[in-house]
Amino acid sequence: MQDRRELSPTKINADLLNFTLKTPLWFWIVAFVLSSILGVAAITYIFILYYGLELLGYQNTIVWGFLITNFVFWVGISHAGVMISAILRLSQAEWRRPVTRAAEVMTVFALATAAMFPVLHTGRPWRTLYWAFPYDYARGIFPDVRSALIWDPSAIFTYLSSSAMFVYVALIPDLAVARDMTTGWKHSMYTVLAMGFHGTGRQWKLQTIAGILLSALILPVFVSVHSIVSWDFAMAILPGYHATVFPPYFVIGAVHSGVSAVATLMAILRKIFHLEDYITADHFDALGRLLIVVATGWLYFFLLDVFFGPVGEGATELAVWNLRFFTFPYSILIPIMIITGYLIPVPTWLFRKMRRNVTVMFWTSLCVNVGMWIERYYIIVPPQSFKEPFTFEWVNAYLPRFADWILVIASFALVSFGVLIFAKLFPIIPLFDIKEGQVLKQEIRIGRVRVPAVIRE
Amino acid sequence: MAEHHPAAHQSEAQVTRDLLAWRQRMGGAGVAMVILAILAIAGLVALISLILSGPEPRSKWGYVATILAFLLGAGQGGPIIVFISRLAKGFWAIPIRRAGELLAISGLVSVPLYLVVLFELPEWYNGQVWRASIWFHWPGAPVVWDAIFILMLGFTGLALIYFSAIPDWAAARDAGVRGVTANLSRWFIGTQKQWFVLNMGFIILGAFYVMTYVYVHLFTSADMAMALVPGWHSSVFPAYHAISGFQSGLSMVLLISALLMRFGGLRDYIGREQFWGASKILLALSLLYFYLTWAEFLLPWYGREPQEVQYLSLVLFGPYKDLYVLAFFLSFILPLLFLIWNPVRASVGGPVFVGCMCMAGVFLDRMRIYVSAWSVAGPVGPTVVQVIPPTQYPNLLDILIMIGAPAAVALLYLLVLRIIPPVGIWEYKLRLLLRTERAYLGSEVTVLAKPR
Repeated sequence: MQDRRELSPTKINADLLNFTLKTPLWFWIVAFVLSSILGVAAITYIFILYYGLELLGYQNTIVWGFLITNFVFWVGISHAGVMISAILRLSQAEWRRPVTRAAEVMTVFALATAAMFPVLHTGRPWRTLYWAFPYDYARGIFPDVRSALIWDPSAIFTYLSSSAMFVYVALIPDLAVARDMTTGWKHSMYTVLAMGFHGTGRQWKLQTIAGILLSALILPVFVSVHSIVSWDFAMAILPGYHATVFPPYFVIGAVHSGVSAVATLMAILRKIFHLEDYITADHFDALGRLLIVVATGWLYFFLLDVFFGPVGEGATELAVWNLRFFTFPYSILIPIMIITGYLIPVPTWLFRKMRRNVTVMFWTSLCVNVGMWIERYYIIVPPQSFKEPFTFEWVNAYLPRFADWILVIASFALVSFGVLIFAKLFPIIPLFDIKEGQVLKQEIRIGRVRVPAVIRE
Repeated sequence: MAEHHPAAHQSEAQVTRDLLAWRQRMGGAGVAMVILAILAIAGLVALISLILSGPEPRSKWGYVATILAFLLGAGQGGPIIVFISRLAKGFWAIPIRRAGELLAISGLVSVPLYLVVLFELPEWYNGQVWRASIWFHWPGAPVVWDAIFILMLGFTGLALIYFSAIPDWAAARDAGVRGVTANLSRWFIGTQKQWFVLNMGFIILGAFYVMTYVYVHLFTSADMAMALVPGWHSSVFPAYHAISGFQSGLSMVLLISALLMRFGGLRDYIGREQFWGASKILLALSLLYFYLTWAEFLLPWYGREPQEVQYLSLVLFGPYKDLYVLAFFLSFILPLLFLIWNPVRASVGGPVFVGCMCMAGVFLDRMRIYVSAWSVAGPVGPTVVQVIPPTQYPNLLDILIMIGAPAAVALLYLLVLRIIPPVGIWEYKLRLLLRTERAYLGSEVTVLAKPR
């Protein structure tokens, strides 16, 4: 990192625990707005429970709409945490330090939000347990374990619990600092959560080993989660879904949207918490470079799906692609997806000046997630219009209703609310990681220039 | 990682002197070059006789396609690691970058071979044009795109070698070496602008090379394998093909680096650090190999549609099942079991041994794919493989071609080493500037500069 500043441990503690220890007025205003949205969503959902799923825009054959799109989208966003934390930690990328915690926290809340949608989608959420767990041992009746719909809960809850553990292990040293700087109930809470961490050599060693082990162990889970989500679709022989490229295509798309979401979040955090000394232009530069590679990988898999989907397949498969590309309203979604997901952001990120501009990074990364949400929608909804060989020969287009839109907006509010509350209770930028970065910082003199350097861990 | 590397005690002048004098140490390679030349000529004669015998039966081209597909990975995949390490500022890879870059010379073998195989693809079925002719059906002919991309890959690879060699040739020129290389580097005197152009050239050419590599693998896997097997429409297969090719390319770089270290007297330049760094990528690629293999397998196995059942019976569980299982072990199971251990990764022999296994695995896998695909006889049109053909064993011509093609690549590699040093002098000197050892808290640590 070129743009590093000299930061004393005292300043780091004061800066990064500021929001945790003091409550500004805007916190209450934002919390109120978000809770209000969640309240409206809760009321809407009560109506859905009472009147049934007819309040959503479902059609005869199209019953996977906004709820399932939201599910896939938020599982995708949740891939940010591991991508940033685990992979960058294992590859010793220095720029990861201020970014990791926010990414991990977003993972946890995004995943919890995602997990909610299939349950809402069932219409009778109290029956979900019957499908997810074996019941009636006496008669040997079990849910079909060969169903991808059963693999999902296992993968998601494994990822959720391991991500939560990942956040917690990295949080322990910071909890100890917070414990030493607080009194009253907060002190008691941090004391319990810090589990007696006092920074002895052995404790640091265990914490470091745990972090590295979790990083390595969480990676397969990270890949498997979105692969399994993709198999929810691909395992069906429905034309448009049945494509072998779906697992890597979903995973790379998830990383694309997840890392973009981290860039958006970092820009917001930097602005509202005045973290200019910690989240610098260098971090956005690095995120931008990473995103160019990820976005291009995503485009490659998208093109593979487009090239090989129609090739050599039957008339129905061709009809699906015809619907996706050339039939309104789906036909306008593809250009929007390509433009917002790739054509606007990537050429912008090719310029270093743009990557280092926080405002540009905020808007372009936001733009990516508009494209990625549409991508989920375009993958999921159109093929369902062609279930006619099995069920119907006629079908109307899926038209989302008020309840659909409210639940989409509420999902964003829920994740934002979760991150906000977390940032209020715990430092959202890891103190110990920043301090470690300061310790490892060096300089090498080359000719007349002093080049920033780092001790290789 | 505070490894005591000889780089810490080398001076720039010493490096220039030593690496420019490297050519004199190649005397022992003469015998090897003669043997390789004989094998290459034998392979060429075998290929010509195969061409003269006509395109049918299609099955006789399976092993030629196999070695071609292998070279597209193990040879053309080498420069990819160079581009990645340059892009990610992975300075650990500097001593082995040249070994990877020079593998692009394999394009001189794989490009002509590719064009030969391209023209052996079936063009007709049931009296209709199935594959548009390169001559009469432009621009819809898929072979046109295949030909354009393989030529672009070949040329870009050679351009990368040229760009990389310019500063070293300039250094040799300034040290008094005359000849073609001095003329080729005549314009380079090392101004700031020239270095800027050179560095941008590496990024742009490298990115272009990677994209072309990916597309060549897409076309190869689609036109020379999938299109020949009715009902085989796997969209993940091109990605799998490209990644496994890169796995074998990295393995080849490791093998060459170890040979240069052992027999080329480059112990002062190439060390444990390079193998350690590369082994992590090799482990990741092995895991990726498994992931893509699994994605490729699970869907048709689960779908159970008639064409999927037949495709699985042919390519996976049929006559080439043993190759499939062996390749899976060599490319994934064994690399995982070895590379999961840090002492193995941090050694020189461990990653090289695993690399050799990966190359063998990828070769067997290519054999399974291409021999089975080319063995499907008859029209290409129907959507299901009607009859699973029996195992095709290689004949003498196939064996000569499969030995001759890599021998030709090895010969070209040795010839190029006579005019280009095996370690990039300019990059190695950059490494000396950017890396130092310092005392820190009672121990010695490595400090790496991270310039923009």
